[in-house]
Amino acid sequence: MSRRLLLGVALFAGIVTPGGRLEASGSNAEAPRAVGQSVLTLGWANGEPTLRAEGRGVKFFKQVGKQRVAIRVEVPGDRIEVEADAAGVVRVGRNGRFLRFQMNDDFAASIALVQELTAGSRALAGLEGLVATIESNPQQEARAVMTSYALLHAIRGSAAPSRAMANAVKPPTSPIAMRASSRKDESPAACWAEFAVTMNEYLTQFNECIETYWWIPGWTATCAFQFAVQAELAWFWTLSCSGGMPV
Amino acid sequence: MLLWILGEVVVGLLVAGLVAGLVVPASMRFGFDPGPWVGVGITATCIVVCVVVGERMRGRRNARESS
Repeated sequence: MSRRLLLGVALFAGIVTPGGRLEASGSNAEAPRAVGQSVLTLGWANGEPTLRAEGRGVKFFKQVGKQRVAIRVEVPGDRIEVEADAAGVVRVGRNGRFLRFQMNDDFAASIALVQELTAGSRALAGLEGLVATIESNPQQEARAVMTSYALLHAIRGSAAPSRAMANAVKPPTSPIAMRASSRKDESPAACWAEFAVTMNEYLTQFNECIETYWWIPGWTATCAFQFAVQAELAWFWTLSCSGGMPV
Repeated sequence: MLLWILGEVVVGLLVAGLVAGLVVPASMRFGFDPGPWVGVGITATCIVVCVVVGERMRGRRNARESS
């Protein structure tokens, strides 16, 4: 299940994320850029942005459209191709032999077929080396290659590159930034809104409690007492949240 | 005197909590969105009512004790 989800996430990331869908500006189009030991080239084909990467003897090509993403990895004598579209259809090919999967196919069986197809692939092994040269690079071109690398591993049943990709694109978390992000909005309006929502929830619980235990008089009194305590706690939280007054 | 009024204010806040706890979600269910000023109104009203009632109770007790 989680792997299926992972595949969906990887497909989504590959198709729609900025890293996957490269916007090549006019001046940079077709301009090779050296990133580490690799050369990345942005371009266009049939109105769709493309990315070529070469390094360590591996040629990587990616074309991203609105509805599909195509990835090709090749070394002399070995070539891996993957095409995924927005409908959830994935085509995986090696040296002219293709497999076609849909999202409702049995995932374990599909993974087994892909693993069998790509077993011993020198292209994928070479891609590992290519990615190693660019994985610390924050540029979008490098991340686009890494996204594809994660996708290729996801469809082979390996979640590790996807996790590494997620960590790589995670924004830096300095202690100050973490404090700032964890700080709640304590404006009077926000505190009041939270109080209103919380009390609405408590009132729903109270009504449920009464409806469930109406035939036990002592229990309905307990429901009322619980609601009163919850209301008081929420109220004094609101007072402390907005500096002593509810506005 | 001061402690008495402080007690009335604290009771007023407690009553305001209960009133707000009932009024706010109930008014939301009737389609009215209570803003923060409703909270101020409830708080002020409850404190005033509690102080007035408390003072009247204190006055009655003093009158009863002095008679």
